[in-house]
Amino acid sequence: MEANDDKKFKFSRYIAVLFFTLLIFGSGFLLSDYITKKRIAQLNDLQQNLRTDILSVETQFSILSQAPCSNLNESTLTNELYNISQKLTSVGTSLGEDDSKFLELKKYYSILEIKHWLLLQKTAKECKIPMTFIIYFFADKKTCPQCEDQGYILTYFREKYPFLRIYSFDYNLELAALKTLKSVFRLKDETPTMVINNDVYYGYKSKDELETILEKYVKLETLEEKETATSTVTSTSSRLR
Amino acid sequence: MMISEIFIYIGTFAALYFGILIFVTLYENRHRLYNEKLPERLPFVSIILPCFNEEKNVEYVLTSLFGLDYPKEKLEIIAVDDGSRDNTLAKMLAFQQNYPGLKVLHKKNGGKHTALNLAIPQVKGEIIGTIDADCSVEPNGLKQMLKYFNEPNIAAVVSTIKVRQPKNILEGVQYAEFMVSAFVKKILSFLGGLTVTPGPLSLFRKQTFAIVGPYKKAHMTEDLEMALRLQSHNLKIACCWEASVYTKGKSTLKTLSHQRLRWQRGFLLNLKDYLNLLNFKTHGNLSFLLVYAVVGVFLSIALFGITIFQFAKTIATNVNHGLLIKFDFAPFLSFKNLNLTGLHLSPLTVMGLVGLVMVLVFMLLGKRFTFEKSHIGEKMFIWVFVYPFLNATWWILTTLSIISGKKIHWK
Repeated sequence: MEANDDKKFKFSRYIAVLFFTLLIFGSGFLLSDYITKKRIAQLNDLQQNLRTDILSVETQFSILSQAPCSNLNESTLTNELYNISQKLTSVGTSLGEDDSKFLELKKYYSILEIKHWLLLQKTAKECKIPMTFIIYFFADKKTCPQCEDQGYILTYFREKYPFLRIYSFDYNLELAALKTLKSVFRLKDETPTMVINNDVYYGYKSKDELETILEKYVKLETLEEKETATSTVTSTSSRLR
Repeated sequence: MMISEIFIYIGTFAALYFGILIFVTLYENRHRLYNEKLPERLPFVSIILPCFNEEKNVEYVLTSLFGLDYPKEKLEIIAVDDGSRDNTLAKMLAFQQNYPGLKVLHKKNGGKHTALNLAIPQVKGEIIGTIDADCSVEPNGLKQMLKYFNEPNIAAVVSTIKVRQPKNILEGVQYAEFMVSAFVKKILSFLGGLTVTPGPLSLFRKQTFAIVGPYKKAHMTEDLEMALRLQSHNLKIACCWEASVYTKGKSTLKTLSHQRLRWQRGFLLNLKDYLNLLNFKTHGNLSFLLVYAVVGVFLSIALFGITIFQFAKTIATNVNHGLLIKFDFAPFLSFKNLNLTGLHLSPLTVMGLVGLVMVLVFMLLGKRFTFEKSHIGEKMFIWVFVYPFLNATWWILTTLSIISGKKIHWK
């Protein structure tokens, strides 16, 4: 039997394999990079949308002051607000929470939230819609370890009670409007903090604690009851038109 | 970048490199995937069947051997009973009544290697085959394998092992695994990189044993040790896609795990005994592949640990969420909560998909090149997701058993 020549280490073969591997590996990186860049490009659109939305809220606010309750469709804007917040979360994951672009978008979003809150408060009052507002101040994990849990509990309540409107703000975001909001409610430097309608609640609130608090404000309506409530609002709007 | 990410990138790169090496080698050897020509003169072949407590299988394998498409006057079948405590010997003798050509040997139990070593000096054949009792060979299998001995420098030929009619998910997983293995082994044979002459049918030139000596106990993986020994003598092992041997898949996780622990433990301990194979100058491709395999073991353990950690973290977050809302998830069950914008396509996801596609291609090529006709279907997907976890678990247990010095048994 002759010797085994198959074992011979052909250097060129291994270099060729390395070349192809780098090519595929590099393509994977490029593809991922391309997608990230595309996402960042979409951020400019998002920024433009946020500006338009702020204008839209202002316009609706003007309409409302002229003819209360007529032709107001707040659910579209509320849903959009929710979509933007989800997009922002995704952007935060991609770019990092400290990215300047992300922080800028966050500021726009916070302004939009404040505008929305102002409009909806007035609408609820004028049109007698049973609505409860929660302004939630959170901070990063290091400053406020319980904020993530509190946020999840609030999301749960938002899903459970359709007439609950929750606005979340980063307590430490450098924004004049936010500073004013904090000073209006004379907030202490503490997180998590919730302002429910006009009452301030400091510290973490468990599901049961928050439920007890909310009972004071909300006529607890389940998702099934939403239909009835919506038809009441519609008929009120038609009557006023 | 986190340490876990670095490990994942290295692991993915290594896997991709191996995959491409396989494809490049396939391309280089595309004109010699099969051997067309039968030997001008059919050699005398002796097939040894070592058995220990195989009363359930022995008749089946013997029937398969006597059904081989090969001149009877040139075929010798030797069944060796290695001191079975069941009716294996009686079944062999009963079979012999109908097939007088069967030679039956009996000895005190001493392990598979002793059974093989008892028969080898007694064979009449120029070619010696070894087969396990839980196997069956396709009728044309032997002739197909003999084609490879046309090349004078081939010392041994190994068959393509497949799982016989998988009945449960675990057997299905092994079926798919063996399909990938069948494809990869052939390609490795072109690199002189085969490290096992498996029990389910391998053929050797008789003079091979004169050169390398008899079988050894070899940490209960005598077939692995024999291949490493052939390699250390620079003898060539070929792989035959045309000959399919069907083996019984392990039907329980316990028996499968036991088998794999034995194999993996045998690989590491035998490699320790043949460290000379890591000499690149003498063993080139084989050294590279062996180093790659050992590094691969530790990478797969690391990747397994990372995956488990991340999985546990997700579970912990969900449990925490559940506790926070007293497991009242009903409000979240709404289509509006289906959010796809959060999907983050990282380089890792892209690489993972590439790896997944590569494994599936290996499996499909294995099926095609070995002329497998049965349907793979869902087994393919179960294998891809289940196997890496099982394999890494076995490697962890193997490493622990070696460190602790724990002994393992055949069954």
